[in-house]
Amino acid sequence: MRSLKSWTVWTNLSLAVMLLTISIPTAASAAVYAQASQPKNDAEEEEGEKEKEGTFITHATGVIEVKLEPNYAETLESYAKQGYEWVQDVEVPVDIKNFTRFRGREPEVLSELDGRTGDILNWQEETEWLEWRVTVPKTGLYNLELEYYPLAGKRASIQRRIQIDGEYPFQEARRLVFVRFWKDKGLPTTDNQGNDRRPGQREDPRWETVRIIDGDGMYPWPFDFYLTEGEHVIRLITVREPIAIRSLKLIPPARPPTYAEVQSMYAEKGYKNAGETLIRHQAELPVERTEATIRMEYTSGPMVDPYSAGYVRLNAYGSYRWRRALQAATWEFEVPEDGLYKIAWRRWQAYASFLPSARRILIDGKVPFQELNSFLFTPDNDRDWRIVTFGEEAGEGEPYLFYLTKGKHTLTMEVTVGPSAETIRAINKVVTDLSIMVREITMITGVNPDPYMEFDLTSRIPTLVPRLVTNYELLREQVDHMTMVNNGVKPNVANVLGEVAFQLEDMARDPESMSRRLSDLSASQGRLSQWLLYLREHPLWLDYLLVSNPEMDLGVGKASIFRKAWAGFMNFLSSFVRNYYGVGSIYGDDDNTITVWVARGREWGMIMKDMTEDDFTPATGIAVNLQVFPPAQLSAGSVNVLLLSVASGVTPDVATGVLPDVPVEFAIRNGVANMNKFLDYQEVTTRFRPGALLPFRWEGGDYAIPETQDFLMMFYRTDIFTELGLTPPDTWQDLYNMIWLLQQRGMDFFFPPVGVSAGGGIYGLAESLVPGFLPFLYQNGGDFYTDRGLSALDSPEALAGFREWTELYTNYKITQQADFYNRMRTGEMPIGVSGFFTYILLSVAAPELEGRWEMLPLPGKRRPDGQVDRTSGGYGQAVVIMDNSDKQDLAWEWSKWWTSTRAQARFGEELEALIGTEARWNTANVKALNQLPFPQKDIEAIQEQWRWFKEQPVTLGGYFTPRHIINAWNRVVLQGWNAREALEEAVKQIDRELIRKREEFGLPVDLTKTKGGLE
Amino acid sequence: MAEVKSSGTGAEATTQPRESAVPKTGLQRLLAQYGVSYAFLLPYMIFFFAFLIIPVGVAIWLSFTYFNMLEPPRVIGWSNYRLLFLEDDIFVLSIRNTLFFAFITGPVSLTASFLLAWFINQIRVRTIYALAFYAPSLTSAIAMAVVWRIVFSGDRYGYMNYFLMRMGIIQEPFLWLIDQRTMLPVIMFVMLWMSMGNNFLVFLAGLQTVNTELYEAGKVDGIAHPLQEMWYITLPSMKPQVLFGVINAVVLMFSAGFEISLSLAGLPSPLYAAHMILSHLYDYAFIRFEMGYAAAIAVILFIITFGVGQGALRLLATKDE
Repeated sequence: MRSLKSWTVWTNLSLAVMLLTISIPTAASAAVYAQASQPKNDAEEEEGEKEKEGTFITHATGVIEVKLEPNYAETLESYAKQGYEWVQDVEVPVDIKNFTRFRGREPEVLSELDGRTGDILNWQEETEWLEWRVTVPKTGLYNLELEYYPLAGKRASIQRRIQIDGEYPFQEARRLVFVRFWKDKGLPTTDNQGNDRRPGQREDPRWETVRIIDGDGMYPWPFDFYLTEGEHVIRLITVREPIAIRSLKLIPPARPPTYAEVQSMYAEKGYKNAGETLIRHQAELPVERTEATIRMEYTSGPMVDPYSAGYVRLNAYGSYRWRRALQAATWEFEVPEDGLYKIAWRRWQAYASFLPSARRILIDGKVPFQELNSFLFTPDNDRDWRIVTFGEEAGEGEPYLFYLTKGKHTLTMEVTVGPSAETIRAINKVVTDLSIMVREITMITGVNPDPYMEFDLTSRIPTLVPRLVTNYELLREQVDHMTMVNNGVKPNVANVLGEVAFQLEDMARDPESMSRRLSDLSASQGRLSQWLLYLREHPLWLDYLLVSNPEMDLGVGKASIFRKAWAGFMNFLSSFVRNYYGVGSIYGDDDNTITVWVARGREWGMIMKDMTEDDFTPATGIAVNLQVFPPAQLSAGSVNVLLLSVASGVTPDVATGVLPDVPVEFAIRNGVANMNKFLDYQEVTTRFRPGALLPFRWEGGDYAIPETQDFLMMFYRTDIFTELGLTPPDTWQDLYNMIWLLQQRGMDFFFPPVGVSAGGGIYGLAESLVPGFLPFLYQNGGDFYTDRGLSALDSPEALAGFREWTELYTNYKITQQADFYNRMRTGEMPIGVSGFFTYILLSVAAPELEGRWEMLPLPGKRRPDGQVDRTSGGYGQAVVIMDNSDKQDLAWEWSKWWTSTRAQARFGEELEALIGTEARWNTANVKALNQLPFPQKDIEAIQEQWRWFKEQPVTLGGYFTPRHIINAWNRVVLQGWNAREALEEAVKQIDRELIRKREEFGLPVDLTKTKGGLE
Repeated sequence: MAEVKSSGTGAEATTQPRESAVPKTGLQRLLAQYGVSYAFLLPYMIFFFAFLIIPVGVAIWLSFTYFNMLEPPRVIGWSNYRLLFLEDDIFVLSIRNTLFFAFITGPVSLTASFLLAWFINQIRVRTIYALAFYAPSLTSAIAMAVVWRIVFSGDRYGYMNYFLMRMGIIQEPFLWLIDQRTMLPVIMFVMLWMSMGNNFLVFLAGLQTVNTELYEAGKVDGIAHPLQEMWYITLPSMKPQVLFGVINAVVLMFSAGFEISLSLAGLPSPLYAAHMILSHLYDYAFIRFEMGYAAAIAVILFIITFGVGQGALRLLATKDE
């Protein structure tokens, strides 16, 4: 025995020694590298060199503004002012292999990759940044050319930042985007209902050479970098995704010729018009795209080719998905002879914002002339399809002629922002200035100014009026600009800008009124921000491409009213016979077919069905009929299809997207099957956080497995926190110490409210949980129920938790109800606790906040062992197997497959790829979450929070718990009751219902209370 | 018409020979005499039975059972009613809320809509006003709840809070839909806004049917003031419309209050402050899965509604005759 013990000690020791010896050489060699001017890993460098997030400017009024570098437009202006010029005929290649410094993992150098040889850097995400030294022979403006290859990663576009001599030359250098290349896996197939099934997507990487340009499409031409003669340091910083780089070059900037120049060149060379030809190419069949989200689409228009005739035909391309900068698609066509051609598209462009959609047009990978660098598809008043010839868009003018040699050519269309960019920059400026102004005024007046007080704003903020004037003048200018861009038609955005300008003008006339109109100002800010989003969006539908000789009449491609009416009528008729519940192929009912109900949108159902057919059915031989229902249909507490189906005996085999209170409520009444009777149930549960299974457990049975999982997280505004010199709180105590500091400045902390609230997400379930109370209860060591099924809320721990929770409102007076997302945007609530829904909103709908907020785990309680206990819950959705299904084994097979890491990761990826970030999938599968295309930092924060995941159990009569906790909250916060009395009253009511329900089902009732549920 | 009649007699002819020996019972005579009329009534009767009589019957039967929706019902006698009246405090509270709600909003809504109709009847461009007042009744409770939820939001930027704070009447945001004191009044207010249009339209139509000669006759008999005109001529001649309005209002007040309460205050409302009889029913039926008990509540609600309706009818009927 003793010898064994000493043996383990020795092994441990020797292991430690081994570890030491391994680490010494690395440290030593790093030092050697540095001396021999080898690349130096900066991993040991002190953390002091943290990314500098701009500088702080303190205004005279005391408000601090976080100021980034100037933007590129301002930089260009200063170039012009200084008289900087483009260099000519100088090329400076960067020695890509000999990077001088780096941080993180050292990138490998490959000699060959996908057909190209040379020194190729394999740059994975773990390398934080890389630095090169270049000697510039001549002072002037350079473009930067990069030859890259998108290495396999998480399928998102590649992002880097660039610094020159340790600084970002302009704001936009913080976001360089390198696209990936995608292809359809084949032509669409047809399911047994006669509808088209979209082919799968596959990444088809290839080498690409680009001049570095803005990642948001805000500038028409590549970035000009000003470099003086001598040595410079170029640093590229990883944001996301791996990349391979073969060359990096400083090259002289250049522009394509204008169309006039091209025309004279045609004349000079004697190019002739092509003979009579008409080539028609379907838009839904591009050869390459830069994002999987832009894809073949379905529209039922009567003239769209091919016509859908009541079925789903993938007959067009683009749609609203094809709207963000750098989303490009390439088509290939063949011309029969050398000559001049014209090119046209049948297209639809009449989105609600009524703005022109800009596209960069490339023929054979090059912009043929400047006019096509940002070509505008202007919206149609009659909201119809129309054939648009390049050069003729305005309805007049000669078509552009393209010289094409005999053979194959490609046409690429890439989304750019075009002339709206100028408006976006102006609005940005106004929004920033307004938010500073609001903060300046609130510092004087407070958030809730006394309406009868004069604050003398003009003398306290002397710049107030001139700034208002500058801002409204700027907006007025943009009204004219947008109208001009839109062919003289005033787009909606111009009206909004005009209204805000009018409002500002009015304020400038009577600046004292601003103290009373602060919220108007915030609202205008919000409206402008909304239009910032719209202006960046450039959606477009395409039907087919036409390439013809210049003389040919292509027509307008519009459908007549009769034709439209007829098509509409036929569609209406066919709607009587088609099955809209089923998704994809529908199979007859036999022993090997199961029916799955999905309480989600059709898009979700379609991906699930496709994955099932690709992956599940071939492997198991089990066919699946999938039917979709409106989201949140499958919940308890409402008349829902699942309840009705059980009552009528016509149930599916599996239901997914079920809300978390359903499984146990149904299980008690023998509606859903116990899953732990399946042999591999235990193995399956290891995929999830143990706390996530709690709501599905009842009397020794497990009635569901989780599908998605919500969570409470803390969100805060990094810029405001830096401004105030605060660090995000780690514990509740840190937070309490901070609240008054915020409130002093008219700001507040947000915490999930009680009661009914709009907005889905975690709050949609006000009935079944009280999100705010749970963390305080668990972190104080309390529990909801005793092991005998009675309420455990009368324990001292629960009382402490309840006190702490209500004190947030009674002592700290935090706001009881607020729209957190909007207040976060305006900065009134720079910190708050919220769920997944807010995370999506902030990531998708708040572009102006990008990089100015962060998501962290919830604050917690420091435990004696030094760890911070962050326990909190968050309901998700679940998968249940119905009890009266006679194919439960097959149903279990499918459920297992569906919640597996592989299926969940793929589903999350495809969903985000097809619908966008707004459809981010919060899978409950822990491993799958790591593989999803979320930013790594967010995943880490979620995983840390999930370590502490524990949900409220659902029990017989458990609906009384949240109900009476809300009542107790109401009594304490609104009616001033003592916390103990209110909670005791609640426990009395809860226990009464729990006992009543237990008696109803003949379960033992034991009134002796024991402490806590987990003894 | 003749064809139908003959086919009717034909049907009789086939049945008659067999039963001619037996003397006709009352029912058979009735059939022979009015068979065709009943045949015409049949489609309606089928629907009436399928969607009214049978469900009501089933509900009454269910109220004597224990039924959890997923398992077959089990008869338990009067137990549900016993519990309901003797042990369920919340039910009593819900009756109180409902009656309070109905007896205030009902008459107020009726009077207000009558007065409005009367005013607007004097104006020339009636249709526009009629449409404006009727529009709220057209929207569903859920849709309009979205609007009212913003108005009465507990947020500082909810319209009501913002307005009152700006006026300096309140200092900090008030939780209109969570606070026990304001929940029911807010719901009553919304109900008034919503229910006004229905009766308004009926009254407006009624006003136009009043015989104008009566007014002339009244003038001759010495009616001097428009209010007298309204009281002595207009109201009596509009009795059918008023009756309809009252019945309508009673039914609406007992059922629609719940929809608004559900969408504004949630189910159940905090501290049951806006708990209606229907909320109680819903609570038991779909949250607690006790359908038998819920059916008992439904039966009681049916009796109350029916009783109040009858009462109102009698009240109005005796007044004149």
